[in-house]
Amino acid sequence: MEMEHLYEVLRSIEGFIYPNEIELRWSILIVLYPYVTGLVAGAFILASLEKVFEIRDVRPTYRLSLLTALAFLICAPLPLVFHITHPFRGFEIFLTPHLSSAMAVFGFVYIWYLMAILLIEIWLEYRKEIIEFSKINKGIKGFIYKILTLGVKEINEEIEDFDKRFGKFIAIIGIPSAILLHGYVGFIFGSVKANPWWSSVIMPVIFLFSAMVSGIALVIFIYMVLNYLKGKEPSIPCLDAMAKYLLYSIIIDFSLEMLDLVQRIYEAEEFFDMFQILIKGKLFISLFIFQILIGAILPILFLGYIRIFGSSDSAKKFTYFLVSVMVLIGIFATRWNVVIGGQLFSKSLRGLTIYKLGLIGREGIYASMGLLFLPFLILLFLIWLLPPYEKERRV
Amino acid sequence: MTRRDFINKLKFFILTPFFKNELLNLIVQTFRYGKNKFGMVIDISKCIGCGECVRACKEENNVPKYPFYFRTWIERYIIFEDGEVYVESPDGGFNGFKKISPPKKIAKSFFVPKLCNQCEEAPCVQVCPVGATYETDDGVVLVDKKYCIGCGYCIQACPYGARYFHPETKTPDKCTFCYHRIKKGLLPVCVLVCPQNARIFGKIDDPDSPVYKFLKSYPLQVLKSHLRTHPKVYYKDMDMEVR
Amino acid sequence: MKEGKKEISKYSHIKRLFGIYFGILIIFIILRPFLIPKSFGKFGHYRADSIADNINLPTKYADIKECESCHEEEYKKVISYSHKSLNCQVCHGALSAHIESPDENKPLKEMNRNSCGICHFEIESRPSSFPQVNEKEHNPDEECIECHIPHNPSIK
Repeated sequence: MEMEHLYEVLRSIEGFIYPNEIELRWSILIVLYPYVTGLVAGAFILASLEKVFEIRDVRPTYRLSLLTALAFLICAPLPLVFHITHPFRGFEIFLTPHLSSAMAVFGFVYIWYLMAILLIEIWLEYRKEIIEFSKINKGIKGFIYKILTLGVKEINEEIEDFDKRFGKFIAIIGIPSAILLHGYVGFIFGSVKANPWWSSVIMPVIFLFSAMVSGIALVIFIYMVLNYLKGKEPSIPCLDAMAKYLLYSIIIDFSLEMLDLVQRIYEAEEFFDMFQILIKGKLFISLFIFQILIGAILPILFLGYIRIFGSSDSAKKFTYFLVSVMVLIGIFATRWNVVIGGQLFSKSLRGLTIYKLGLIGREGIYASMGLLFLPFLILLFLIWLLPPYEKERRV
Repeated sequence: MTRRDFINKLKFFILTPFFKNELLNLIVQTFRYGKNKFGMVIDISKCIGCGECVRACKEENNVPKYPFYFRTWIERYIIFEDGEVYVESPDGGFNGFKKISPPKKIAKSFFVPKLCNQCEEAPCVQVCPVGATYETDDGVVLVDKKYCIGCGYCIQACPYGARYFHPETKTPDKCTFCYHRIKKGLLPVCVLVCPQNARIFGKIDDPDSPVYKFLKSYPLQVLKSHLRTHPKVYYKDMDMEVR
Repeated sequence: MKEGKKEISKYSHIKRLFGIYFGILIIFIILRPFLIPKSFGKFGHYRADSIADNINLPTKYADIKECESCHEEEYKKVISYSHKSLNCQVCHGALSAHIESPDENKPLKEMNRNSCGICHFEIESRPSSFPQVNEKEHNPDEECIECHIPHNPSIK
């Protein structure tokens, strides 16, 4: 951070902060990281609804959820790599992880989830097509398929059956793995006793449920956009089912967040005075408008209305699309409030600092927007390679 | 050798290099408390807020002279008759303090020098993901600038605001009790230059050390004791308003 | 068409996949000891050489006992009067460089009102037992050293 910027922060401080707290270390990149891993966990759990709990209605989005999870998982470490000031030392987290630190498990949880769960599940789901395509396609695409077959080009019904059962097993252990992938991020914040806003038992749970909410919303969004681009009609029963789970997740998530808020207001511990000033001032819009109103209350009302009173297909499509966008924005605001909001107030409990978001540079808006856009590009590539169309089921 | 023996041997061979150190550390940590460790007592009733400790520290330890980076700093507390509390730390006390002449009557007012508390159970050490910060056997928490990846988790975890991000090394930095001096038998510079001897330094369990004598004779407090970090900087005459 | 084709097991693709994963794991295990710094883990979960890095730093402030050997008269004067608890380096700056090459690195000798006032001007938070004067009322147009010798500050 240049000095000019810090002098400006110095002038804008309210109350008293420890002199070293002027510089806010965890920037928008650290808001992005839980957001992206949350999308991964949520999309995967939606896919698991079909594979493990055999909820047939969400079948059309099964493959899409998996590919979405993969695209976002590939991009998940990027905000971290951009943020740490010695990225080439980043591999130290694999070599000498300090196991008392929640952050140290990042390397292993990430690798485990990527290799042992997601890649295997996608591979098993697509193996039949991969083998077919490796024989049909020429050129680079054919080459990629050949590599993906791992040299095993034979398939029959017995093997397919085994793939399905093994895939189910992977999906079953994938659910706690997805919970771990995002839950540990919540624990990273929830275990910091120095920060009274973060330090809370409920923090990992809130992170997890808001992750599910954002993941389901993302799949709804992508499913509708993809069908629109291809000129096809999305399956209304599928959308209805996804909206149902979205509604349930939002209700649980919202309840947990309100419980946290109410308990903090009721117990009114020492940081409460600064907390009040913060949420009535700097954090008012991102908390009450974006996180609560747009991210939770309005979606609950819209989805609840449709669920109770029903609606026409076109109204449903419009509402679901709108709700998914609102939820995606709302959950981003949730992450913002935790990461940035938690650093805005001083550990002296007597003052507030400010966060200035720059435009350019590694930690600026442009970089963050790029990092959010990149997974969609990767998703397009994956869809080209492994089409998520609904398989023709032979009677 | 049966297959089971072979697998067991393999498990040992693979896991031990990974976890031997971690296991040893877990064991060692439980026996580490308070043996031969450095500590500091700060006598708040003596501090005059001259800022000499802040200037000397920045000079000795090459701390950037901007008002954003401090290994040690001074806070000024003014408690008015009506109970309102005003706290300030202009440039950390680097240029001393000014007369305020407030409109209200002052009940109590004092200076509180602050620095890294060299906690026995330092949360900053606990959260470092790679092992770039650690406590030495003589009780000082140090930063390994060549190994640190710059994630900033330790800065978030410190309850006292003792760590700052050094703009040149791009790693966190903090007070080291002038480790390069105390290992040669010298005093930390903040202790050396204090005109009032408001900072007392020494080993906390050496009966000849002044710190030991203070610890056993006077009522002392530590900052944020409810967080159970076991700080080794002790304050004499600390008011209830100090955080 | 080849006769006697190999019987494909229904697990062969899984075996191949886990074979690849196992291979990656083995490579990692083999490479790891070479990539970790040699002194890591000796005393704890950190690079033991870093302790030396933290010790081998230059000291700029000296032990003032060394001042006595060349400046015996001044030293004895200071420790007899009210500035006895004041380290020489508070007014004269860091002195290690001066002790090393006395003629090249002359110490500072600032003596304006502010350099005395930073301790002695009256401000609200100082302990009342500490000698302070009102900045605006106590001879505001004169330098402190007109009346006070720094090494023996009672009035001339």
